[in-house]
Amino acid sequence: MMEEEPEYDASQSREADLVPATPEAILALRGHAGVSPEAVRRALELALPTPGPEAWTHFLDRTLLFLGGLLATSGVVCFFAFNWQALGRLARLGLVEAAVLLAALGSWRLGPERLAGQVLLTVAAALTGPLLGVYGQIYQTGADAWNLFLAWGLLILPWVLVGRNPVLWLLLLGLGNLTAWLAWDQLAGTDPWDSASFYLWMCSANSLVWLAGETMRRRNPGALARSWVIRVLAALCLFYAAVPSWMALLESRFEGPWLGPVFLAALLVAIFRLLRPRDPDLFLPAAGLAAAISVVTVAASRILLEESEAEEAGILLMGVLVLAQVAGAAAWLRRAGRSS
Amino acid sequence: MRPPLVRVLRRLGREGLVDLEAVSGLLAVGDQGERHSAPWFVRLLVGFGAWVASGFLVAFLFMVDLVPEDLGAALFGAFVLVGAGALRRSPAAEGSDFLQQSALAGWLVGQLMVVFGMAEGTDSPPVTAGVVLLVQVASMAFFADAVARFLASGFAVASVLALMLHWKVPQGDEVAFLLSALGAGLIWWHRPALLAGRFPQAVNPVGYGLVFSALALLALALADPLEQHPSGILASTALSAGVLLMAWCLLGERRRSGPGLAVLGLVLLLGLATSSAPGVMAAVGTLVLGFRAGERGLLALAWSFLLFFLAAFYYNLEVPLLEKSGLLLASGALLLGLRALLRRCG
Repeated sequence: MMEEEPEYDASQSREADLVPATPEAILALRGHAGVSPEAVRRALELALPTPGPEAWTHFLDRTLLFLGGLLATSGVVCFFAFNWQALGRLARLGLVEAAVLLAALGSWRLGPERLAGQVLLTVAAALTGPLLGVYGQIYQTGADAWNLFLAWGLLILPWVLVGRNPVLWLLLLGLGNLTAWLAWDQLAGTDPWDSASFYLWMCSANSLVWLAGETMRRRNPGALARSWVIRVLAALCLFYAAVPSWMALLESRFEGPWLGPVFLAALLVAIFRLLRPRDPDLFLPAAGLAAAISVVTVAASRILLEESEAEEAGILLMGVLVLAQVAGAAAWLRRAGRSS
Repeated sequence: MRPPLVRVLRRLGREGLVDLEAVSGLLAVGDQGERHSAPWFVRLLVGFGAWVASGFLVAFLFMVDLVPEDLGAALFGAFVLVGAGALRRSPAAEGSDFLQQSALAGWLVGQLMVVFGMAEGTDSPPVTAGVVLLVQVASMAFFADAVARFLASGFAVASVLALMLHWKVPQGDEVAFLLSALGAGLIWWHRPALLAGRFPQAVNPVGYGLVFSALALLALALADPLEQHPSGILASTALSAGVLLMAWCLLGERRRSGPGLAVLGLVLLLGLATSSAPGVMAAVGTLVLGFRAGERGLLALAWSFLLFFLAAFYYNLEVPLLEKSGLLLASGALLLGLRALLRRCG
């Protein structure tokens, strides 16, 4: 068949086989010379087929496993919550410990390369926290909350490394951030949300993890294949850099700590100059642009609404400024998407 | 996974629906169309920007006393809506992101003016909700913007909910949910036909908007801010019937086979077991629709909602903990048991 047809040779376009038959691609053909409504309807039928019996069987198998596991685990949690007061110390500890052990052993038997093994390993890692909580409750260890989350993270670290599961990486990342937040609150005695230093430290720490993740991804794609873990990390770093930037801008006389904007600028340079040329994913540039827009908008609101006396004009200008920024960002992202 | 466009075009060529010689040119057109569709996070950024910008613009209009009072504000809003729609459809907006965002912000400003003007001018909640509903239907059909269409479907569901609550329809919040779920189900089930119809660009945004609104209504019902004390039985029963109907249609001739009967029985039993937790069947229905349509967004929405629903269900005081435990354990065991059975049957 290939010999009978002209080759696809549009110089600005992708390889012919790489253009997917999405509804958008097919709808673009509507009204084009030689394409009847009947042809469009038929193309949509061909491009959006109902999955076959094999695909449905696979879907049913996975859904039943995930949904069944999720509902059963939720049911166990509710059961313990109902009977908690009536259970003895040993029973409480033994039950949670048995659940962790069974899940870990099941995962070991099935192997982390199988889906059921991954699910069981995730359940074991998730239940480790409640186990530590129950232990602390029974023996009144007097430990602070951040100790618990730190111990939880350290205990599941080997499983995270062995499991190669993005959900486990995300759990570990959440535990790390929560530990730092609680430790700052309890050790420094200041509210982390109001402390620019907290955000800057968190930005630095998460950036290091992000760097490690990027290195791992490049060396061994299987280790952290799901780029959405990297996406979450990058979004966290941008958030931690943007908040102290807003703080600096909103401080009276602009006397806030200026390291926030410096950190944000460094992240933006990393995203646009180092990562963008090698990575076609548009999420990181979009998140970077959103952070930059938020900082510019806060700066403009300070100048136009607080420092200026023409409040009405300032409000109108703010609306136009937000529109212009978002339009510029969307235009750049669309262009970048087309050229990827 | 979508098939390559080139394969679809060649098939059309073999069936005589397009000229085989033209495939190369059509492929380039389709390629450009596919690249013009922005990813979800770009649409989110655009939508959020439009909200913020329209907030500033509305504040400006009120500060300089440009907004007439009562019905005048609604009329003003209607003009803004028509103007925004015309701007969005203008050839100049096709190549200008700034004009597209301006049109979207204008559309939101017009919406707010219409709601404000109707509420102030008529002092009648049903008339206000009815007019808002009509504006949303017109927006879904004619305002050529995916973000606006998504938001319009959410506003439409909110208008229906307001009407139900005003007329004190029994289980009104569940009826609003069911209408939204029914609309979403019909759109995703008949998507290929709708895409070939008169408003193809509206299909996906409205479909997503209705699914999102339906799930949001269920989540809201758990918190019960309107103190309607929904039992969830009506929603559960209707959802179970809907999922059963989908399974019946999908099974086709296999519905009389052993695995087919097992699947149908599972849906029935799951519906019974989760009758006080309609979120489970809503998530199952969304999963089936998402998989059938090949939409990963719907699958992600269903799983995220299920996690949220289970967490909210745990804290819901209407159902005792022991009952929650029993129904969740029974449902989980049912699903895992059926999986084992189906695997054994091959």
